[in-house]
Amino acid sequence: MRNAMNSPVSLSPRVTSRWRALLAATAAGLVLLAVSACGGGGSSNNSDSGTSSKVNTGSTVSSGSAAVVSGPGGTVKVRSSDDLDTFDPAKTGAENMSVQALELAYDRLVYQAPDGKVKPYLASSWTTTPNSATFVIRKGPKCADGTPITPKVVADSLRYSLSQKTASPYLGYAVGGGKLKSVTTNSADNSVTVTLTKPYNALVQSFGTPFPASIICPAGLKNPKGLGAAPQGSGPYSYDKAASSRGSTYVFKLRPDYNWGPVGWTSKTDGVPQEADFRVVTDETTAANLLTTGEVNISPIAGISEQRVRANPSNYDFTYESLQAGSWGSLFNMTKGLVGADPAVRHAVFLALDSNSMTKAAFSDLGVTEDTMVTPNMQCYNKALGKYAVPFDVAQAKSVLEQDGYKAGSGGTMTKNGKPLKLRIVMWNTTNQLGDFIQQELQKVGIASTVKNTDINTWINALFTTKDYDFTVYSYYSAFPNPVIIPAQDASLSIKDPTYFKLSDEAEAAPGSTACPAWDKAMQRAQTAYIVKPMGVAKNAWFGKGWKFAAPYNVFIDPFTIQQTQK
Amino acid sequence: MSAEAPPAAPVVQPARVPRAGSPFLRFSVRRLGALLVVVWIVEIATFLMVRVMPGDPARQVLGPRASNQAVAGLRHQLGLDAPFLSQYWNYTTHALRLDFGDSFYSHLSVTSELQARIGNELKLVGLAIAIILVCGIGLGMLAGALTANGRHPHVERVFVFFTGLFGSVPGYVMATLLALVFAVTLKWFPVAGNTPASAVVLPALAIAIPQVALLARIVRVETLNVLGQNYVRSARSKRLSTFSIYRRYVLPNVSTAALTLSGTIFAQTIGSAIIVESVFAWNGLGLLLTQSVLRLDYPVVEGAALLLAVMVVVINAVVDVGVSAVDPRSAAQRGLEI
Repeated sequence: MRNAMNSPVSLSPRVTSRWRALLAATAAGLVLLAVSACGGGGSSNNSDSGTSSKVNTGSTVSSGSAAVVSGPGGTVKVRSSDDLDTFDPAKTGAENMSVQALELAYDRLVYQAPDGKVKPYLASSWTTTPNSATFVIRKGPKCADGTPITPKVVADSLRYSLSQKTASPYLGYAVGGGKLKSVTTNSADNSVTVTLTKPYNALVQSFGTPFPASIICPAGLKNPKGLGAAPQGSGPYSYDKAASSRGSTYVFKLRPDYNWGPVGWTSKTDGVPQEADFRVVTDETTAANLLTTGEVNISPIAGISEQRVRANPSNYDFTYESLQAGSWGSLFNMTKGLVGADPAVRHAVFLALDSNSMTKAAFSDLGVTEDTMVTPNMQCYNKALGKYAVPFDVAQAKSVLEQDGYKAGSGGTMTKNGKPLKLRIVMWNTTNQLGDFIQQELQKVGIASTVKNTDINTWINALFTTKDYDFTVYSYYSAFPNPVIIPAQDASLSIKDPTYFKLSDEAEAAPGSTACPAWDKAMQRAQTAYIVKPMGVAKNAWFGKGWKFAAPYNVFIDPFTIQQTQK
Repeated sequence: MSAEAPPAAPVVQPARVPRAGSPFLRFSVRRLGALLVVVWIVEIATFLMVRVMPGDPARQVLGPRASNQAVAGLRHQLGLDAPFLSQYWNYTTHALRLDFGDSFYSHLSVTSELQARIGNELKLVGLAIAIILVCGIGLGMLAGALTANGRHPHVERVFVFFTGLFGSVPGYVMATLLALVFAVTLKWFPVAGNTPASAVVLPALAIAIPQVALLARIVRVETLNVLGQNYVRSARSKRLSTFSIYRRYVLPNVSTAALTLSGTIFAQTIGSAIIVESVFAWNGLGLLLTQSVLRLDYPVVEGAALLLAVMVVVINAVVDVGVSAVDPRSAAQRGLEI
């Protein structure tokens, strides 16, 4: 999701940008991926009782005494750190508010629980093959306008969302490296079968993400443009357009007849909010003020404001902390002719940089150092891969450069064939002074550099469009906690290593229990070929007062976890 | 023989043909023409401005995972790969019909996005300007009255100190301070948002206070100037009441000065609103513009910036015409003679 991309610390409005959404979406879907991946050989089976593989979300929940109130909850007021772009699951750039709205107003075939498990939702069970999944649709769910959810409704929605013509920004999360081949229905067992042109082991997992796989009701498919203004779904809440103000406040009302939520959730569950009001507030100081005065009940808070809120325990009685999924990593523009094309230079630079110090420079005390790109809250995390991370060793860094033919020139800068070793470093300014820190560290081994500390648009433009850079520290952060997010983004960066991409493609298609070992090989290659060096992730904090909830991957609040604890 | 030369034919001076229509109407027409030229320049500037912003809107929309082919496809779909002049012609011809296209971000029409926020913008800016004019003129006249002829030097020092202080505080800082004091601590007003009705007060104050300080300084000087005029001395000698002197002589003069400045004040108010709206999450055009710049949402940036610019230009023109109508002498001095 974009959110993810935006930053952990993210707290700036830009974090808000679509990048985050992109990352967030990714995270959610990928949990499902693992499920099918770890499911079994050629095909796997899941049912109501069963769940797929579990992901450690890396979240820490601390709560006050808080028992849930009995009976219905009241109105919960939640701060959103960015605005909503559209209610169309296939068109959204996955801004936080958009993802939240999709979670509230739409249903999905499967549910990705905060603990990473994939559970039945509109689908009561499913079976998979390497390139297909068949979902048995439960009977009873209805759209907000009363239209029953049938296999045909589901199939029509998926045909729209997953078609190349619709061009969802997140289509790749749902179909992997292939395309949608067909969506068929079977009235005999009330099922829908989705078939792809290529094997993809995250297919089921991706259907737990709010985009692009939220199920759109017929009224929405009849007028897709109308989804820009209002959702057409079957989710637990209906959008109150009259009470909402675009760009400022979004009001959702609980559907009193909703009884098909995952894990037995219904609108009669104790403490469930009867109304959820979301307020768009991009400024962190303002968000902290709103929480302090009780004008919002739940808010993510970042940066200095997070410390201010935490310093006064009367501001909150519940916190939810989550780590980003997918580490930040140092990487090079490996285009031929640039310094990053030389593996010795990449090796030396990685040796010269200490991930601990870099994480501290980027996130202060709100960062956690990682030595693997796949973080502990993602599918296929393997701690053992940390041994392949390039260590911090300045002496060896110099030695590697000297063996590569570099010699100290004037001013101590390493030179080869009369050419000084100089890097153009481009950084996203959300990482504070990290760029300057890197510059200082590289000087110690004789590598000169220039640093551009830019806004996200300039940074993304340099990385993906103009490619006018040698080195950066990139955020792979996503709400789709599956390793596929890493090579997927690398493909558009200037990473040039056919072996790495071949291994990644194989991992994406590897069936069942072979998926994670295959990802291990790809991630090992990323480290040993000096493609990327993991740095760390940011820790995000949500605060609540009078309500408890789960906000996995820091993008949205799971609507099936919100419960009132005080009246 | 008469040496007298025949009398020369009288030189006929061409008679001045009176131009049709009233002088005021002609002035207004000239001003309207100038306004159109300015709007056109602004339109070009807006078009160019968004295109020099760093970043690729298509990549911004599709995100980092999208392939380069997909990004190129979207660029084509959005018309961003068309020749520059073609893009400009397309933009201009649609803008003339008030059609700014659809937002890259929300997929809603830009017109609907602007319509949804223009009311909030006018409410905020209107209240801010009212505060600026009422308080700025009031404080300035009061300070002028108290400090005329060198009286109350301590009042003058206090006035100069505080107007200097408040006049130099950036809008963002003022907004944060007001929120902390009146919303968080005293809880007199909501921290942010557009509701309840009182929510407009703090953002309006945050915008107005620095400008009140500046206007009060100008009005004080103008007040001192008027009080030193002979006609005021005559009025005093005729034992007119102080209230009458200020109402009949001072207020009209300083009001003209304030009115003359109001166009500039309006422009500054719009500029401040763009910042302050972010702090108070006020759902106005400024907030929309700020967010749209960050999203590289060209159509909305163009639409919002053009609308704000047109508002400023129109208000300035109205002020010029208004000043000319009520005070032709002043207008003449400013080169706006009718």
